[in-house]
Amino acid sequence: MKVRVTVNGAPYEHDLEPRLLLVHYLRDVLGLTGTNVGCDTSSCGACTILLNGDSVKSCTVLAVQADGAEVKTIEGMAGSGGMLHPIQEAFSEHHGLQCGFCTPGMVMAAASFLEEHPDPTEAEVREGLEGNLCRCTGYHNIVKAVLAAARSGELG
Amino acid sequence: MIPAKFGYRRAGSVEEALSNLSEHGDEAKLLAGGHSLVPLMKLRLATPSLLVDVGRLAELSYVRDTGDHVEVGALTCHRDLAASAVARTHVPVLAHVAGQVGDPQVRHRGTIGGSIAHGDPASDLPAAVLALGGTLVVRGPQGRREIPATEFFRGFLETAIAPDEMLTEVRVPKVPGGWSFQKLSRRAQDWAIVGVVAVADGSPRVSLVHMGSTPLRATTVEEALADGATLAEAASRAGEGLDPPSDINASAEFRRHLATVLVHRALVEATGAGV
Amino acid sequence: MELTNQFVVDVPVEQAWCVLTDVERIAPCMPGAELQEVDGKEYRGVVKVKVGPITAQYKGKATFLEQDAATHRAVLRAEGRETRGQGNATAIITAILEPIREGTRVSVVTDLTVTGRATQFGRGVMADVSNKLVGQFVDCLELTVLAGPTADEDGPRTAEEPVDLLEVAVPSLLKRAAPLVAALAAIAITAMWLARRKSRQH
Repeated sequence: MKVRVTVNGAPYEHDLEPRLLLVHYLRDVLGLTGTNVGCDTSSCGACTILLNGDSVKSCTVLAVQADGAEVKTIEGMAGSGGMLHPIQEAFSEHHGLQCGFCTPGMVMAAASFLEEHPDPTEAEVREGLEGNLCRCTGYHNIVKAVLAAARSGELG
Repeated sequence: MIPAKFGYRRAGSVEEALSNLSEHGDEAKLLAGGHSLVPLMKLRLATPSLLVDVGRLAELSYVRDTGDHVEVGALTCHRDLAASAVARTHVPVLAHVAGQVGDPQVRHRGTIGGSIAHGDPASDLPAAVLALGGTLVVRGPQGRREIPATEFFRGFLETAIAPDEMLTEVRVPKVPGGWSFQKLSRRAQDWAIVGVVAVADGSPRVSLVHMGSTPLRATTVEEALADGATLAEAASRAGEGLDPPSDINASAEFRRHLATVLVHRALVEATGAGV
Repeated sequence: MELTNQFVVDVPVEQAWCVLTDVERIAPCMPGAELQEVDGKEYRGVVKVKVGPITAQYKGKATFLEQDAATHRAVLRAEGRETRGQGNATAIITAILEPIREGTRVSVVTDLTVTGRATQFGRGVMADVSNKLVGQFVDCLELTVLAGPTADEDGPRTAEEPVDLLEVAVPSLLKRAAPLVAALAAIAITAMWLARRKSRQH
């Protein structure tokens, strides 16, 4: 069936099978491979993107459910000229990644979290990211990065 | 993992959803947030031939104060219920439990109607509605029925909703007194190994998460309290007569033990007692 | 793991034995069963079981290991494979009929072994579903076969049957499905918890 989605500001229209998962639409149809498939069972959060501004696990959303919606992926975070988003800048500055596999999902989850909680405590950040798992970092630097982004004053 | 093929229709109204269900019987499934159904479909444990998407029915997303009750539309997502001022003021236990389901991403999609209609004993909201003495409003071709929560959960993933019906509203009485929600899980965003909802409304009502094939009222505890037992004595009976599951997270024996500990904590918190 | 079911029928033990081992008569009461062939002493077929949104279809075979009319004891071995690859299961089902004041008590003990993803599941749900299936079976039996000779034809049937066994023209081969069905129903419920325990909360 026909599905129209706006992804990172650009409109797309495709004829899709209802069973196509949103993550597969983004990766395989649109070529936006920044979003990763980790566990495929809605646990790890590596597939996290923003759907109408809310973080969702795209491995558990059907592409048809995103018809008419606005999607933002990690590819849509950086500004023009490749200028990093403040959250991306903070992850870089505070060493919030090692292998990088969970990072796109972490950044998107953090973006949604900070939108709803602009001035969080450390405990709130830890809870706010509980939908995202990381095997490398032990989370400390991720939390530091998110707090730094919150305090940077650069988040719209 | 990829689901088996299915047809998909978006329902523009409850009537449209119902007529699709009538047409296709139990080969059709309603889709709301999809966070119970889609995972099952990805594993091909569930293979409906038609999905009827009701996720855009904005008229079913509401939290309303109706005097002595709070009415929650079935398509209210957990994030909205947790943030609702009406819920936080008048049924704070429900708002709190909604805020504990899964993780933020799940709460952006999951709905109270979806959770209750799915009927998983390990889900938190069914137990909360049970402890609150809530009512489920269901609509079908025969009209509207109101089903008390105590009669709603029939078995594992089985509820009183017929294949041609749809849950449209969850109604709970306002409970002014104390409450508590205890949920033990090993890792963030996990299902409860055991959970307890306690509501101090006169004599406390206690319900259990993941202690059987449906959410359960801890009737032995409630009866002990009504007979004058101390909180500790009543809590020690929490596992009696129950057949909790054994799985990779806990044995039945451990669950029975956990129930006594968590019920005690819940009763202490709900009643404001020291011990 | 061991699952036990028990039910009481209000007829004497000899009559209960005759009825319960006359599989042609009781087969229509088994929810979701379809016998596909009988090869000597081996019954082969398919059982569909529905638990909420989950449906499972088990394809397999069953044979009687024992059928002792003197002690009213029957033992059936059944093996099945879920048709979508969710796992295998084997069951040894022992049924014993005892005379009691109200009639006959039928005790069924199922020794169930599962492989594959099913091994991470708990027995609570399986016991619950197997109780429900047995309950449907017994309700149907009491309304039809055990109610008397003329009640067979028009007794009401239980409501939820993924496969409709009530067609008038059903061949006798199909009616011998009951032992296979009982076995495969017991097997069928093992895969039901797959999604939840494997993954996080949704």
